[in-house]
Amino acid sequence: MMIEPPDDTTMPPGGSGQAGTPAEDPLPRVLRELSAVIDSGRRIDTAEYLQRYPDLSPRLKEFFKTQGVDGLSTDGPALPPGSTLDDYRVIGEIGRGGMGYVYEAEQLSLKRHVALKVLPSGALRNQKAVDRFRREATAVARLSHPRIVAVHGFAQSGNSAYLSMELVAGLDLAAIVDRLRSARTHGRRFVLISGPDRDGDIAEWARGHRLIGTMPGDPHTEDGVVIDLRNYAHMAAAFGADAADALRHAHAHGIIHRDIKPSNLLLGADGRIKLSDFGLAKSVKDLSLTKTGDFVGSPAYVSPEQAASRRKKVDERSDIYSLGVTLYEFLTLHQPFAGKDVADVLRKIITTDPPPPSRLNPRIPRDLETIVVKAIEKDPAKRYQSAEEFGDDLRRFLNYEPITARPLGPLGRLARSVRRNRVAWRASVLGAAVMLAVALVLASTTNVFGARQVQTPPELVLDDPMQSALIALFNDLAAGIPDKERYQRIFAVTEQAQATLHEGDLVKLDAMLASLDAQIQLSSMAAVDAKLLQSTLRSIKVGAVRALHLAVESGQAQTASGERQLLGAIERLLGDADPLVCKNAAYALGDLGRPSSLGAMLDALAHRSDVSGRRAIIAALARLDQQGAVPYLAELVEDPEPAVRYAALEALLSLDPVDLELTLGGFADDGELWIRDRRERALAARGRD
Amino acid sequence: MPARGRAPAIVARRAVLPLWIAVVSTLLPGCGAEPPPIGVLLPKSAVWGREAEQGLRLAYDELPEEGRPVLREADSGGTTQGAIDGFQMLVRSGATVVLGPFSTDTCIGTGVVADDLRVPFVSPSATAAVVTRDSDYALRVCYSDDEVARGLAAFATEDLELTRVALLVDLSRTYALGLAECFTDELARRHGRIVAEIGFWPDDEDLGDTLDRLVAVVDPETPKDEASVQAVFVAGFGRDIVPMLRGATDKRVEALVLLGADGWNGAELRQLIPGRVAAAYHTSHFSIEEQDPAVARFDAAYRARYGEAPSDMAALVYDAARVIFSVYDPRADGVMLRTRLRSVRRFGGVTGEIDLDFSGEPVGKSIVLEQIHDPGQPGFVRRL
Repeated sequence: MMIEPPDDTTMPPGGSGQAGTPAEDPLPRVLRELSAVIDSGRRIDTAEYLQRYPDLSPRLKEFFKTQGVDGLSTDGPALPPGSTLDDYRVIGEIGRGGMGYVYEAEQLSLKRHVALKVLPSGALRNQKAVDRFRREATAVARLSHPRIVAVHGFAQSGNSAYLSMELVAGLDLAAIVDRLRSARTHGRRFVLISGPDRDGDIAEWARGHRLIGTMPGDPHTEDGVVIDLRNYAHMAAAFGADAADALRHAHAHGIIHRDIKPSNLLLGADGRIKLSDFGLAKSVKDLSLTKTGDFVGSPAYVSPEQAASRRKKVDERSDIYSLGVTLYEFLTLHQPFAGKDVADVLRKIITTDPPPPSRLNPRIPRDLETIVVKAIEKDPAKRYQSAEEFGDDLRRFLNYEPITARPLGPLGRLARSVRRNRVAWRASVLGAAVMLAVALVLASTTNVFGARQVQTPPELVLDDPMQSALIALFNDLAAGIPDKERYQRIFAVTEQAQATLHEGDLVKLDAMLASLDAQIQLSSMAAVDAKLLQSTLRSIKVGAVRALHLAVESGQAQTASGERQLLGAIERLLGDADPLVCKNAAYALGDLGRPSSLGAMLDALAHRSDVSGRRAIIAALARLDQQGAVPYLAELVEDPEPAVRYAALEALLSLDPVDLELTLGGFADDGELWIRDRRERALAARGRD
Repeated sequence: MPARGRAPAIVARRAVLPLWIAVVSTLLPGCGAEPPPIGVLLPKSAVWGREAEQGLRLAYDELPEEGRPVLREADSGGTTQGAIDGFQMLVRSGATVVLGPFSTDTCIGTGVVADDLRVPFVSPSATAAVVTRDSDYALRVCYSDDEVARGLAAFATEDLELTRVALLVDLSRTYALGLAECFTDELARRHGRIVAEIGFWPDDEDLGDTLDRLVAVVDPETPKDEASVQAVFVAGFGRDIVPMLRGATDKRVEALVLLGADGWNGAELRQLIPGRVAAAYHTSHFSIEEQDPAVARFDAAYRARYGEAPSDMAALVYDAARVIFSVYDPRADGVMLRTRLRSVRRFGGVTGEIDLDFSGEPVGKSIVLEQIHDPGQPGFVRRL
């Protein structure tokens, strides 16, 4: 519930930011700005805008009203710390937004801390706002679920109306997504998603702190929850499963939330998600048909049926859609439907298909992508029909079981395309028919309609003994147990990993190694323990790459999805801190030559800082033989390490692009004579210089 | 590691050294406080553990009887955990300097502990550059892998005038990765280049066609009447190419020159190479064929005492022990001994002259180059 006006709104209050220029109506720009905030799903501090643009006040209020952003925080001062409101003593403000202020407060009679959502006094004149408050209270009063923020009560006292709610200390998912975006922009891998935002190196900061890792189910610790940007699909799925559980409970009690979005999913101190803000919730029996034009919800997250607002029935499946969009954004850090204004966003929600999540983040596992895509189907009948189904599929993904959702095949994509472009379709019936035939042939030869033969790895459940052993190990390491016991634990874990490798449970092993890697980097274990563990894990990781390499090469995966999962495990190890592991992964990917690995290899190349790892990846890119790598390799002419520049030069010579001389132009001025000479000799030998 | 990092399955447990050390310790004239011992961290189960013990014993017995330091031993078991445990135990028992551990991996782990405890150690045989780079209290008396790779690249381009080399990389060892990178860089600086690379795991069952695949490589920059691959640099142990040599069928393999670093002393390898390739060169820490008076004295003393020729490991441990004895002072603590070790200059070792620098590296230590001929022929070529 933070107020986050866009970064470019720093002009002086009341001014247009264009002093001295002829009066330009600032309204369009301000409305664009507000639309952007709305699109992002963030709260708008209406009071701040009204204060900043007093001349526009009437028109802004109208805008807030039409957009469903009630101008509720425009009146009434915030409650200072120490002030009391009935039985509550205010401790401090923890947020504010369109619905008012949120405070941490102590309920004096029960000596408990609560969150107090207070409707500003002026807003009491707005019956719609009061109704919304009351609705939230009455809706949630019927619910009691650990994944739903509990509402203790609603009161209207004098000039105030307020809700007393369970206090959730963590950030909401919108703030978390902001942190992830910022980290990605700055090339940081680990992101603290609880407590104060940290710009620096989390891995460095984390030494001395006890943290929750990237696997769900880790025990609660006080210092924070960390996301590994390269490996948080499981955490996202766990968050989604939590939210789906909350929705299942609400739906079972006949309540539709209607405003599922990142800012309404709160991360608790236990690393689990709680659903909040039932202010737009409606009872199923009250829903019937919404009135024309009576649009509710946050534009970027509303379902097509909500966006259309044409007497379409809004039911539980709208919440499923919104949760799907929320997961889409969390996984890709992009909203599926971006537009220049609200109307544009709504139009796109109704008419266009978003890009597949894996196109925006290649690390998203295929199964999780399939689940998300099914949840955001435009046709409610094609979505999960209940939150329970949705949550169950997410848990199947978490447990490495086959999911029930099926990816859209080529025929499905074609049919969808035709449906969305009827004009073009009518103009080229023949072409469409040919495409359809091709799609059918393709489908019949690739078994896309048949049951997927997912290679089912062993179950990895949250209370898996192995996972528990890992967690116990790291807790003990942080707690400083005696050397002998510590080493025994380290070697017990190593032996488990070794056994997993021997059993051939490669996917399970990958999950285990990913968890270990994150913990090694983030835990407060002594340097010697980290070295010891890394050293003992090295041979296991090298063995894992080798086994994965062989599994892909021999076609053990059987399906494209299975193969991608195995390739993904190798690709993850490209980022391993140990150069030998990276070398093995790079060599394997180069040898396998799958074009789909290009993105992961370029990503790892961009993120690694060690010379050994980078030159191994560069050599593998040459073996992969994809021209898409050429511009990235050519950029390495600026690399400060001569060995990296030389490796890039050799890789470019190997790839031999059409404009080789031009591509190698930058190397002509290299600071190392032997690199310049290599370029000249190579071009001369090829008769091009 | 280098060289001898992996403990083979054969376990040669011998109680000779502990017994011997115990006797020495008991007989040591001691009055008042015990002088701090010198720690010895040996992988007793390693097949070369006996050679290391013999080298150490020879060096110790060369000391004047009066004032000999106490030696205290621990078994590293050849593992990182064992080395760390052993090192900590030795320091707890008062050791102010330690001989060992021996392999790169064990030294990396031990280096962290040594930095914490401020007690230096001297490794006879850990050759990876990272050993002394990452620890302030790690020193060694052997040359580094980087120097080996650079020396071989220089030899290939200058002496043999070879410029097109294929790389065979053992993907299971960090040691091999460092070798491969340094060799590639030095070769490139000398206008040679790697024209092909094949990674392998030593326990692969299908390595037989590896050399055939290498000679089949077609390099776009090589004139058609010349071989694309002139030489193969083995970034790994020499013994790993035995199955490759056995399985090679392409006649072009006979024109190849093999280049390598450590681990080329196996009898099988030495029997296989003559006639199957044009030549095979490898590096070594020590050669009894070298016409050097100090080496000759050591060789004679060793043979007289143990009835066999000294190995690389025996010579390296002999040198490491003598370096430590030369600076040891019972009044000095670990920090002071580190300073003394870093000040060792022009020390006459049988494995070459030792000049330790501030980082604990034996600067510019020479490397023995040997060629594998028919059995019985001398192999020493020269020092690099």
